[in-house]
Amino acid sequence: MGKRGGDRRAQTYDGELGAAVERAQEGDEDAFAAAYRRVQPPLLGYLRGLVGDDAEDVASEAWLEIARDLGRFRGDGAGFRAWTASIARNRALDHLRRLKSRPRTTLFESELAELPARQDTAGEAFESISTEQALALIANLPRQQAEAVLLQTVIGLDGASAARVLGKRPGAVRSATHRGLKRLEQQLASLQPMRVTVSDSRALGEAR
Amino acid sequence: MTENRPRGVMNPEHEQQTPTLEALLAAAARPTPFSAEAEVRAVVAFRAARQAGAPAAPTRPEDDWRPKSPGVEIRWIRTGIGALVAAAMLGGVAMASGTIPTPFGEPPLEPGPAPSVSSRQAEIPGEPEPPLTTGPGARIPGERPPAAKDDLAHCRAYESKEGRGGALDSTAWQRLEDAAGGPDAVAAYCARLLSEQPGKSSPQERPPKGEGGTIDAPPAGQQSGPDNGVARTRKPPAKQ
Repeated sequence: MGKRGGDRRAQTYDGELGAAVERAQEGDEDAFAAAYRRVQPPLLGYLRGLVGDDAEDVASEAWLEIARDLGRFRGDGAGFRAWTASIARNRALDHLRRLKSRPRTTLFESELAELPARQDTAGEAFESISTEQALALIANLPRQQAEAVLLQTVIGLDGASAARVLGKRPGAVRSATHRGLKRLEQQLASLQPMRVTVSDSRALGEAR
Repeated sequence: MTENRPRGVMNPEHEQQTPTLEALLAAAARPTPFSAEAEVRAVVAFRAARQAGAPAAPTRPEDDWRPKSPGVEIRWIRTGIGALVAAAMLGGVAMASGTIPTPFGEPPLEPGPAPSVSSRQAEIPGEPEPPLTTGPGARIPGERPPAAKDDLAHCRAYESKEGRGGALDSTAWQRLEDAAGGPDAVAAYCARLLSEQPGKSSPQERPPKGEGGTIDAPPAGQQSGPDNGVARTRKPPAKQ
């Protein structure tokens, strides 16, 4: 998943992130802002998959905690991504507990309804799915699968870190990822022949 | 992750018509735009936290994301072996020098902790524990309860790893946390233990005999392997 070709870039990215975090821990505000700008986009993507449109609010809560506890953190850039994801996840779970009565799928119905059905070229197909739609599809997986996929594809954690964030054994996370990806492919395939309508997206929700 | 794609996706005709799984994952991973306002709020929170003195907060296990280096565990094993060897030597010397007959005598220098040494010792044979903690050499001669010796070692590891690459393994950390009475108290606990400890050399590196006889020998005899049978006969006065 996204590993090919991205390794060196990820290393540079994590190196710079780690350096920024270190300076932030010494009190450098600009470095903290730089770390924020690097971490916030994937973190928001992860949270969007967990709590939908409430992602920004939950992220704000998470950053309050990150800012407060930054001095406690030990680790490098990759570790920081995992640590922040872990904090964001706890805030998201709190949030979900608060709204337990509201089913999560409804957050995404409008976005799923717009999923394009037909493209003329592979190139267009590649761009045919928006980030929101992709996250919405992942979010419709059973939560364990959704989280396993999100942590690894969106946050970019390795299997071991994802497992630690989720409090699961690496093997369990591996199989959840596997099942999640498989289901996503099936969903993509079944969406393909027809124009997607609201009723289709509902069927997708029921298929869980 | 692509080896499981269903037939439909492999079909080139379909591939042109529907997003592939890779496209979906790439789309999901595309950076989500965020508001500048949110960034400002985070920075303000950061500033406030700095002013409130947050940087001094100790690292909890959940904050430690340093990669686990295999070297850490190997070093622990080496320390354990060294301790066992040294213990065997100490025990032999103690027996030869005739200090063993007073196994439960009060240590001359620090009478305080001694009773807990014997009661703890008496409990140990009943419960299986790793050799590092029950091994006779894992004790420091005559100074404090056996567990404190382990704590001391863990503290050394904790101090030396602080700010460097390694991480204290979780059982060691747990012990320290228990002994200190909470994760936040570990640093202070360790500082105290280490400051009580004269010099930097570990006990097994000290000469096992000589002028140390009066200080080192009685407790060494009391705690060393050959003598455990004596300790075993004593019942613990009370659960700790």
